[in-house]
Amino acid sequence: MKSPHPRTDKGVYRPTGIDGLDAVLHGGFPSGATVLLAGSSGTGKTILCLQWLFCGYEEFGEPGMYISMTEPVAKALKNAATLSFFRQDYVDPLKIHFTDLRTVMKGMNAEDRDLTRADIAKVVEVVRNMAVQSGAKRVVLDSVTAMAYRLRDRDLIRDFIFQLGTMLGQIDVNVILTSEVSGDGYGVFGVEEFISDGILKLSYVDAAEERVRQLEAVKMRGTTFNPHPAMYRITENGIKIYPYMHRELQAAVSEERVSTGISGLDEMVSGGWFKGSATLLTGASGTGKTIIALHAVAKALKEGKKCLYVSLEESREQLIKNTGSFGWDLPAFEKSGLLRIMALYPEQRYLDEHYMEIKRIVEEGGAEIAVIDSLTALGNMFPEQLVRDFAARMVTLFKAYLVTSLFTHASEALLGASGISEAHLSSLFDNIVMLRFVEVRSALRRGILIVKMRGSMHDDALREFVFTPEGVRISADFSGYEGVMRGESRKTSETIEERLRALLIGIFGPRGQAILEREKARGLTLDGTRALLKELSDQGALSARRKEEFLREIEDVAGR
Amino acid sequence: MTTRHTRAYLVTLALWTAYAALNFLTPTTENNALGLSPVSLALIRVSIVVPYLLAWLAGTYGALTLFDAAKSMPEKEDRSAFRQIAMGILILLGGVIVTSFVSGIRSYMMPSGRDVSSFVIVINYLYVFVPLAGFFYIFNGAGRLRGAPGTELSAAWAICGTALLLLFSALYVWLIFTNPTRQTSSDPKIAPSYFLPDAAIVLTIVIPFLATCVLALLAILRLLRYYRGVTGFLYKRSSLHLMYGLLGVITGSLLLQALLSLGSGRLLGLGLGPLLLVIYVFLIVQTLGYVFVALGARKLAAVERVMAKYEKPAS
Repeated sequence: MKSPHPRTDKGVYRPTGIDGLDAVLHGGFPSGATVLLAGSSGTGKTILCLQWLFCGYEEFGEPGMYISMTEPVAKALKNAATLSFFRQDYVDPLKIHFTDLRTVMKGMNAEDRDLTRADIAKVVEVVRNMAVQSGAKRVVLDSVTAMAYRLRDRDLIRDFIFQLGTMLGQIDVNVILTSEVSGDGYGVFGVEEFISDGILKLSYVDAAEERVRQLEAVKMRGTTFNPHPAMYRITENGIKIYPYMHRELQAAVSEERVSTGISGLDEMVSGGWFKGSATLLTGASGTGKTIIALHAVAKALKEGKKCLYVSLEESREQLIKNTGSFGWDLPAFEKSGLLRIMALYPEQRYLDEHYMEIKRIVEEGGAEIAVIDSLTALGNMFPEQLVRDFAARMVTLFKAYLVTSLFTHASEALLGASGISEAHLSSLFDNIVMLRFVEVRSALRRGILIVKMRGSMHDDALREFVFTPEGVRISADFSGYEGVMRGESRKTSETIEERLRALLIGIFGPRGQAILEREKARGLTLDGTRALLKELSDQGALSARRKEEFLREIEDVAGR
Repeated sequence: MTTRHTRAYLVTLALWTAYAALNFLTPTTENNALGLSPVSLALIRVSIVVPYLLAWLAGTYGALTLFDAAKSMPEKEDRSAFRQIAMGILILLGGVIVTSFVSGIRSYMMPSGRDVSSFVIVINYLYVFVPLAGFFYIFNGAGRLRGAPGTELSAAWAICGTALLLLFSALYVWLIFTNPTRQTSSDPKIAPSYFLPDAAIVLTIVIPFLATCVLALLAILRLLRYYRGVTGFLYKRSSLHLMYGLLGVITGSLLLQALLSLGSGRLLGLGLGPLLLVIYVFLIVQTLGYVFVALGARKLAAVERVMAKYEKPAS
């Protein structure tokens, strides 16, 4: 990955070659720096070191040296061989030299006793000589903790690190000292961090459902770095770090409107969302957030716009099946390259992995409409603060590229008040659409409300919406009821539906009820009834005068 | 218009043509019962035969269209009800056509002095048993029609109906048994009305006819109840037309029986003016009845056709 702070002075900075780490370090380690790599057991310190050595030789032709203090070289090599960056032919004293410091100490007859200051000088000298002989530019001492236990004295530890760092630094060698720690510190004796030029801390963070590994650059003398913890993953390819990408307040703006894909909703928002705006669709599970978001996608696809759909809850197949019932052929749009569906479970990637992948697609011009469905799925996996931060960065990214974005978020309450403020999401978005179930006469109906729309007039009424074979239709508001927002609707007067029912039964008899049900399924547009009256008149069952009278009555009832 | 409809109209037209031909081919002499000139007689015949065509065509259209409407109805019970009513109308119309035709033959044969007794007997039975069958169907069908709950007719309707029926029955029986030419006629220009003994008249004419009257009255009351109970402007409007039509057809049919019970002698004794008035009233009532049936059936069929198309699930 390219660093956001590229260095030009390559003589001074030495890129690590590890994906994402150079971005965190704004280019790499300062040449000759001694870096303390602290972390608890299992965080991947050894792997990071080995990767640094092999990448150094592979990419930069820099020989390296791995000095083991904790396990035999053969075992270290065996473990390293399972990783894809490992090359057996690089295991060579003039390429990457593996050595066991305990062997050196054995030669000094110091294997069974505490080391003295003189021993330290000898060890450092031996290491220096080996580095000079092999031409190493990268040296790993794994681990300094094991060495420290042999030294016992804090001054001796300080001396050892200082001498090693100074001696190797003089010959332009970078050193990584691994340190086994638990908790907040960086070294067992608390002196290691003061002597080192830089500190990288590897740790676990408890997320909602799993432990997430993160790397934090704590200190790096003589250079800038990204202090924000970066998540990383250990894979067969080694360690992959996802540096935290800062957002910048540089949003492009447009007066152009983008259709929501639902004519009634377009009317509610004065013609559509602003291009490049971010919309939050919030509502209880099953209220229709995904379907409403998909309407915008379907409409954009039909207009030949590129769309990105990130589904974190439903599989690609499920999405295709659900939308197929509306006659939308998503596979065809995928095939044509207009639609890209990223369907994966939240735990499959870290937030920054999601961010980087989406960013790549957006930067390549692969999306004019983007949907993140849903933030709630991420919230189930990662801490709320991280999800909010992720959402903020996504919004900024989309705005920068004028991508009209829709985010879905499930509120916990089935009826009544929404939980949009719970996740502190509301301020991030330009538009907030609240979907909710409304209980009316013991039946569960769906309501849609535009809570907020920056820079635009919008309908303030809570309107009913229904699913029809053609898609979502917005219908009448809940006039005649009060308490609908609280989910406790109470009838205050005769509703439009009741008046329509009475009128239709007055015209069509018992069949009026079935006609009303059909109209409701079509969103109470009453187009079907108008057509029916016209046809009855044309067929001689109804005089033209009566037809006009009934049409007027229907329009009156519907309030149009 | 379907092939079935076209064929039915052509048959009706053919029957009417034959009936008209029989009427006009019947020899006209100065020596007729009313002493009319052949021209006057021909004019009167025209004024009677032409409305018949309108009534027959309207009746055919009404019955067939009601069958069509019934076929499109979603409820099985409604389908069955309207099918039976349509069948009743078709039987009544068929009876009118056949009896008119046989009467025409009888009239054609009368001046030649040939024996017309068998024709008279057949015509009388046709006049009685065909309406009995027709009203039975209408009564049965009307009983299956479902109105809104709580629309049962009040007792006043039943009392009025029964009183009317008793009055009409008494009048009918009195007219028959005071008819001097019910069995024999001394005037060769006037044929006896029944050619049957009194006992046979009571058993085979009077009782079946009174049964017909009961069925007709009950059918009307059932239709009235349906009309009052049916909801929806479209259905109320078409059922109103149908009810008016059936009322006309039933009244016309009963009026015809009443006229027949008078006997030819008393009818001719009324004089030309009153006689023509009675005949035209009968014709108007019957024709209007069939026309209203046709109008109601047309509206109902159109409603059912459009609704069936609307309710048909999208493929």
